[in-house]
Amino acid sequence: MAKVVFTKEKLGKQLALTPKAIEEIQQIGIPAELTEEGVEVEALANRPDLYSLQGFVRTVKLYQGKIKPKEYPVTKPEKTHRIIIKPDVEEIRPHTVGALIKNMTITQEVLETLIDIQEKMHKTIGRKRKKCAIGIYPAEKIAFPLTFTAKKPKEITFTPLGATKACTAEEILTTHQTGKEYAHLLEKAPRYPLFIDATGTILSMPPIINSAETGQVTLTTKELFIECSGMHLQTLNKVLALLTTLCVELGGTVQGIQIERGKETFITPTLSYTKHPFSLERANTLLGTKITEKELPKLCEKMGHRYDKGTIEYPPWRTDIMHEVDLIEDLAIAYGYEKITPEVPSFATTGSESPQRRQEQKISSLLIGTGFQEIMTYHAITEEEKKRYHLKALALEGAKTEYKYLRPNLLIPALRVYHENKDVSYPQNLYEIGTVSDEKGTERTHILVTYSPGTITHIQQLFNYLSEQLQFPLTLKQAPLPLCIPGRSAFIMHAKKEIGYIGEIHPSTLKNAGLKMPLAVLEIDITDLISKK
Amino acid sequence: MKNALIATLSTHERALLTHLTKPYEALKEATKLEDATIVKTLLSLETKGFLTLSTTKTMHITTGVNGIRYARTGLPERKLLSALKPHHPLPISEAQKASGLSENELKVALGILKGKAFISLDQGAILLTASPAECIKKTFEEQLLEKLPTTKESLSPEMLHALQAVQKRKDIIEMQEKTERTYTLTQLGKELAGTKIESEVLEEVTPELIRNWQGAKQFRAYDLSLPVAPIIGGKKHFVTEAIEKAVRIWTDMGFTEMTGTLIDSEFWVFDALYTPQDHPGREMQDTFFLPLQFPLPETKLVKRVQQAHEQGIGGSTGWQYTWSAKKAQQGVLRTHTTSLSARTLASLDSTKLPAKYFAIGKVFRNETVDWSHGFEFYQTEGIVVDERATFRHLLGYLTEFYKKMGFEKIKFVPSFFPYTEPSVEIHVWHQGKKQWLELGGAGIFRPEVSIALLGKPIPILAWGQGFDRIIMDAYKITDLRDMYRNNLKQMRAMPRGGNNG
Repeated sequence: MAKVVFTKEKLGKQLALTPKAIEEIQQIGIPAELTEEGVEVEALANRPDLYSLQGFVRTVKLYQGKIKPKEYPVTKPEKTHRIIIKPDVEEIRPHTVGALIKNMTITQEVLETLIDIQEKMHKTIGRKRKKCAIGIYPAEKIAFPLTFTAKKPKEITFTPLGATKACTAEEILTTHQTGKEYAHLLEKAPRYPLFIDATGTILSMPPIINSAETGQVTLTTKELFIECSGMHLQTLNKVLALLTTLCVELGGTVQGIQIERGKETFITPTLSYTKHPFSLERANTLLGTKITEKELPKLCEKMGHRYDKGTIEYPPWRTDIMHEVDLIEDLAIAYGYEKITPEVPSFATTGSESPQRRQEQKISSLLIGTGFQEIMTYHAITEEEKKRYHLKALALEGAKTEYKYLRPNLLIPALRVYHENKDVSYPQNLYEIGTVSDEKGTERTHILVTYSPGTITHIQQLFNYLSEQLQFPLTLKQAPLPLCIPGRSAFIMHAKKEIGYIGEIHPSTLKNAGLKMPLAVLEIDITDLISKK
Repeated sequence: MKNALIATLSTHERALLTHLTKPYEALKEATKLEDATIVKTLLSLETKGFLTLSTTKTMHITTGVNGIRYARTGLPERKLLSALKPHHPLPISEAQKASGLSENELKVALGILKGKAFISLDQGAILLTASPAECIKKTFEEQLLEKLPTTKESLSPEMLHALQAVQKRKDIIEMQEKTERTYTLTQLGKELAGTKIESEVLEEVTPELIRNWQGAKQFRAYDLSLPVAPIIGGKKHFVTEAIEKAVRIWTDMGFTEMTGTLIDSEFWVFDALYTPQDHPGREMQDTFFLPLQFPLPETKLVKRVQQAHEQGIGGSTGWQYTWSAKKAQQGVLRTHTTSLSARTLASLDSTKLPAKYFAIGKVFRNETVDWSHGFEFYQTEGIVVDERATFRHLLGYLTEFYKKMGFEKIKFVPSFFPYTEPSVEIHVWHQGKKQWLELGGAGIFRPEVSIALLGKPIPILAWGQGFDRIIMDAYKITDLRDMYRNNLKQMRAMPRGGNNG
């Protein structure tokens, strides 16, 4: 998850920045750390309200009891304050919501805050603008009502932010920096979405960019128009609630916008507190606590909520509440995790390790008794290893390291281990028990045992020892094997099936792998053998 | 003291000790031992403080095959010189015949005489420039050959120079390094040399010795302060050792182990755990996707999971989007062992409660590798299904486990995971580092998870913490990559059980 940094300079005015204060912040469930710069906060996916300094301070101060939950009034829209959604936008970007912000002085700091939060929302909850894109405009430059519509790319021409002259939609998506970055979101769309005002002026082409003429907020802007457009109405409402409540914290007031889709009309944003039924009994049962109803109102206020007889009202900026359990957690946080004492229940259950582990331990103890050192290697092999040994293996799509395939056997990783330890004293007698996968993704448990220096005779002795001790009905069928010396290798047979091999590795293989000591190996697929035990 | 020392002497040492009054050269004859054995035994007596052995190396020079011939006929340069007369230039074409040299010898002779400025070459003829006195005088090379055999160490600087020149020429001399040894007795050596001691001592106990045992024979005592060769023993990998310790703790606490595949469908890794399908964690940036599709489990279960995501279940609002069955079928490498918990819960007999399960297994994230990150690591997982389970129990189980793992001070901090509520992060106090370590998450499964998987609302306590950090700490490893580097030297030296035993 990304990190958000609040500088000492900005945060210091509002909160104490002592290690103790940070520890208290952690107890609210905010992963904060004190750094040179200020406070570094891990951006939690469920709490986008904490991505802004104002939201962060609000949560901390509420918890400390320094402020109380407050109202976020929304005044009625004027008659013209409407967005009309045309059917032609339906298939590409069906939803939009909006709001007006008044009485807010746009200082440099406010401007930076807005741009910053817009960017963070786009990246996180907006899923890189795919789910939700935000447009912020100087309201005074816009003639309401607006139309949210879609036009063929060829019919679109306007001057995007950051450009000096009018461009076609195609030019924006191929030459403009932001355009190029988000062009994939409109790929193959026959029409591109547009906000158009009452004079027919293009305001923006979401989710790409605003117009330079009507879409640039400056220090002289008096009122803001904010819209969110995207695929998922609930997300848009959440983002709008987060943005508009932030504007209230910045001193603004909110006026609604009427959204019209055919005959359906509604006003956004709704910034009232949401009522959710809440049972203290259920909460105490789940938490194992004895919180009384008398304590509830105060505990709720610490989290920004209000309690009223079996109902909790939570604020519009809490966009993460889906179920009563979310409120129960809030109650536990307000009560204090440190006050909830751990308890181990006294009922008895019988524990056991898995049969597979028991079988593996049995094999392991035999091998250790014979003097083998266990190794544990990565479950993946490199492209180079796959090529060198002509292996079939399942690809790990988009792997960031050189390990790009699941290991099809345990020998290849072991050769890597031998190479890395070639100058360590010998004998190096090793074994590994682990999971391998074929190119179809079928997982099997293998055991690999290696003697270095070792001969086919050593490994044959070991094969006899293991099959006798483990009572595995196995036989050898002499056969040539790719990496082995001719005449010194065999398949291991179980119920007429090849389930492994023994062999003395050919000097040419050893030389190519950068090894300098003789090597004899045994590898068995023990999946069926141990599952029958 | 002296007797104790004598008791440690081997048969060879005893044999030598009685003859240590004699010079080195006489020891072979006296003891009838091989040269190498005498040297080895003397060295061993030296470490025991009987004597000091000094070794001098000398380079012996003898005449080579050609040297023997030239001693008779004179060196090629001498032969050429004899063929030359003052003021009578000798054409090179005639020189070979006049001097009786081979073509090669003539070349060498010309080179040497020119080098000594005895001759000059002019228009294909050799002109003698050295004075008659110079011509008669023996060259250093000739003087050297007369001295042979000799040693390099006894030569004067001029002779050494001549040696260098002659060495380059074929088979004139032969050189061989010889080692000469002398020994000087220490005070202890002087006291004991020549004394009469039991000459035969017993070394190994053999079957024959046992069979024929008569008693009264003396065993040689071994000095146990001397170093011996190390044993390379069979051992478990330290990661296995740490895992087995954790397994023991969980089973002691009444938990049953869950196992399962590393490859699974997104359904079990994400969907069953209420992680929305557009969650950033479900992208290639974080997860290893495989070119595989898996069938979905039984329809009832799939329907409940779909409902949980789309419109919620058990009073939840859900994520409110259209859930894709196809996306849920996609194969991935499990990013957490919680997929095992999900599978266990889906097939749980909910009439047999409480049920407690654990797992310790590899999980995979598409990460780059550095000292603190890897693309695969271990996680320890647990679930408790119990009608009466509470958040306090969750904290209780975790406290118990980490105490047994060796962490005394534990604190719980609120946290967030898509599938648990309330959620908690476990921090343990690291006594050595004097700081809190974050170990990972836990919580009570959300109703969207528990109802979907069990079909009814029963609290499920759940946790899944990275395990590698604990192993690193127990085995004093500072680089995560060392966990799977299989450095044999490091693994052989590691104490069994790490620092916590």
